[in-house]
Formats: sequence, C-alpha cells, structure tokens
Amino acid sequence: MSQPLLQINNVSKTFALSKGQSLTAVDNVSFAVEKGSICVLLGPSGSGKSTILRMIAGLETQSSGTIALKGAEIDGPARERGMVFQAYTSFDWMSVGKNVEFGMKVNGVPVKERRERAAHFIGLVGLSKFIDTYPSQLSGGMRQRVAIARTLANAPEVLLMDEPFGALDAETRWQMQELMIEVAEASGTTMIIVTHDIEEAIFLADKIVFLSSHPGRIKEDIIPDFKPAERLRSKEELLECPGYIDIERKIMRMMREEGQHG
Amino acid sequence: MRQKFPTRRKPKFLQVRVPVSSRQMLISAIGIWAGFFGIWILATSLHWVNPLLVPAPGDVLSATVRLFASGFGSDVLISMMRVLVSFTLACLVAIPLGVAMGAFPAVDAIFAPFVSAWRYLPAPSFIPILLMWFGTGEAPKLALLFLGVIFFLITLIADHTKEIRKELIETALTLGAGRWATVFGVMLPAVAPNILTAMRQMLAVVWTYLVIAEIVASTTGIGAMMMRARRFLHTDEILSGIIVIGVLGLIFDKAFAILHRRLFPYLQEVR
Repeated sequence: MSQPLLQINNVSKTFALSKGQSLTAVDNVSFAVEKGSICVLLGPSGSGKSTILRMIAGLETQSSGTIALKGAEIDGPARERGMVFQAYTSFDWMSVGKNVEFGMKVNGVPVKERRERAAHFIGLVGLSKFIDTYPSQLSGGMRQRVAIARTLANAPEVLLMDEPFGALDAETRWQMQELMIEVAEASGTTMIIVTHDIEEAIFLADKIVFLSSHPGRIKEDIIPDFKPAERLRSKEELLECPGYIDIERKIMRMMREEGQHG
Repeated sequence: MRQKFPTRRKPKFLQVRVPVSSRQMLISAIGIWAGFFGIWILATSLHWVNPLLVPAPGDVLSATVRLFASGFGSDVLISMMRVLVSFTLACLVAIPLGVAMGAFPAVDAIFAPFVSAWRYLPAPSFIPILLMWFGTGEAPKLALLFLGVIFFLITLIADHTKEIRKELIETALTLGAGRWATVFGVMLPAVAPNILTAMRQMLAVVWTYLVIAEIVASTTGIGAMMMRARRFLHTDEILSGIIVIGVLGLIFDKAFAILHRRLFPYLQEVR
C-alpha cells in the first residue's frame, strides 16, 4: 500500500495557563488519512478534536510530534489544507461568486479559469441561482454551502471541517451531510470532519477516530464496515443497514464512559 | 379569590420598548420644535427677556440673510475648508496606522503606548504653543483640528480592526492568502464600514475644535464672525453663526450616511 495522504505521528499539544500551570489538550495522538477518504474525529468535549484539526490546518503548532502531508511536514496554514468553520465565515462584502473565487484569486489563478471553477463548485452545492447574491441574504445552511464551495474550488489536498453543521437545524444538517457525500463522490476530495454527533460520524465516515477526553487521546479507530462498499446517499439508508445500531450503541457507550470519568 | 383580567388594556403613553407609530413620531418631532420656537417667540414678543441678549427668531433669520449678503459666505467656505483639509489629513494618517495596529501586534506594541497617552491631552492646551510655532496663518488652526481628532481616530480604527472575527482571518489564511492578501483582501474590507462610522463620529469633534480655533485665534471663519459680532452686541448674528454650524454639521452627517449606504450596499439588504 502506498503511503497515506496525511500522517499524524505522536502529536501532543500543551497550552500554558496562568501561574505556571499547563493543560495537555492532545496527548500522543497518531493516525493516518488515506487519499480520497472521509475521516471523522469524534469525541466528547475536551477531547482535543478541534485542536487536532487546527494543528493540521497550521493554525496551531503542536508541542511535539509531526504532521506530514504527502510525506512533507506542514508549516503554517496553506491552500492545500482548506478549512470550513462552524461559525459563518462568508465575506459579506463580496457576492457568492466572488467569495468562491477569493482563494483562487489570491493564489493567482487566471480570471477565466477561476470564474469557471467557481461556477462549477457553486453548482455542485446547489447555489447557481445565487451566484450574484450577497451572503447576508442567504440562510445559515446556504452560507455553509458557500464556505464549502469556496474551499473546494481552491483545490485543497484535504478539506478540514470543524463541526461545520453544528449551528444548523436538524433537517438542514441532514441535507448538508448528504451533500458532503455527494461532493466527496464527485470531487474525490479527502476530508477530515470534527463532530460530536454520533449519527453524523457514522453516516459520513470511512474511518472514525474516537478520542477520549482530558487529555485528548485516541481510544479507538472505528471502521464502520457494516456500510456497503458504495457510499450511502441518504440518512434513511443508514437506518436500514444491519449493524448500524450496534455501532451506534458501542459509540454511545464509549461517550458515556468518557462522560463519567471526564 | 380569582382576579379578573380585562380582555383589552387601554394603551398607555409610556410603554417599555413598545414602538410608536410613524404618525406619533412625526407629531412628537414637530411638537418639540414648535414648543421651542413658541417659547422663544413668546419670550421675545412679551419682553420677558432683554432683546439685546435674546433676539427674536425673525431677527435671527434676517440677520442670517444680511450676513450672507455681505460676504459671510466666504467665512463659511473658509471654515469648511479648514474642517475638510485637517480631517482629510487626519484620516490619511489614522486609517493606515489604525488598521496596521489592529492587524499587526508588532505595530500596535510600538504605537499604542504613544497614542493612548496623547489621547488624554486636551488639544486646546496646545493652542499657545501652536501659535508660537506656526504664527497666525492657517497652519495653527489646521494643526489644532488635526491634533484634536487624530489620536481618537487611530484608537477607534485600531479597536475596530482588532474586533474582526478570528474565523474570517483564519479562513483567508487556510485559503492560501498571505499576510498582505489577508490584510487588504479581508481585514480592510471587513472593517471599512466601521472606519466610515468612526469618521462620521469624529467629524463632529472636528467642528467643535474648529469653533474653538476660530474664536481664540482667527480673523476669518464662522467662529471669528461670531466673536466680531459679540463686540458690537449683535446677538442675532451670533445665533446665526450657531445655526449655520448646526446646519453644516447636519449636512455633513447626512452625507456620511448616504456614503455609507452607497459604499456598503450589502449591509442594507439584511431583511
């Protein structure tokens, strides 16, 4: 087997607190992400999952260990590791189209090409009608679609998402989860998604990295291999998979155990 | 015992945070001004006050017409030029410096201790030394207006720039924007509406210092006219000057409001 796209090796993160105290948020975490796969970081709050994602993005620096993309150690934030946040990050002064073009523009993609790519990815997230609209006129779910299109159009090696649907209502959240599968199938983009929603994790993931809390450690890698080889397209299909309930029950138990001594 | 509640309450005049109708707003607005002028007219026509100290509204109006007929327009123009020139200079310094302080902690570390100290020095205290340095021309007036707002403007703009949400900046960085693309492509446009609002607030302060400068050390401008009028007990002309300053202030404020709507249409479209 060829080397994985992203390799996280023995990564720890310690934050300095006041009065010489320190907090270990992430403790000796190692995992790998294969090209084209969807990896979900799941765990209770305090498991350091967002911190791990931010370190992969280059927005935080690990205290020890290495993070390597295609064998090269990462150095700060870069286009190859695009991030979608839970909070809305649309640039309100630009139309949806200009928002999606932004990353390509700062990376020197010629105008014609970036127009075309922007239109393509806006179409992929179902917002073609809104290409000239200001983001402030869109709903929360639509704004997250803009953020996803903006990051994808920038052709990252890996798409990082930090609880991207946490602020959305349930129905919009299902739509967005299904959209992510569609996007993954259409673009082949590698994704790392942080969530605390068990169902979301099982639906999206090719691999779930389960983290325990205080400090954040990997407790177990869960491969939801009960799912068919072809990715599921709707949440309802998930419910019909034999084995789904067992995995959900297992993860719930792990979450509860964490909660008790966390 | 059961309390019986009335099915419909009689509307009270004072209701906490209940919006009033546009009709009531209009009547209220006209009412307060009608009351103001009514008392003024009454006080002057019934000779409750010395007409030399408090001229009638009609006298003030005719004084205003008379003033403009005899060249007051050039004073108004001079005052406006002083405000615009000094304020433009202040903005040319404050906007780049404020944004740089908000964007780069290294720049903030240099200028913040300096700027915050100067902010607490009242600008008029510099008038004597400004007069000695720059003589009696335009320079000391422009310098006073400049000093009066520059430090507040820098602080306001720097603070607004620091308040830009972290996620916006981090989004730009993970999209591959370098620091300059992040500052000019994201931070500057994100903070621009707040910069314009800060300018609008500070322009009012410039008008205050203008009058101080012209009353203390000038032979031209609206403030100087008012001081001349005082010498001849022309209270009607003094009041004209006050009204002209008020009207100019309103016009500038309105111009900023229109500019804000024009420059940032995306802020209006939230419904």
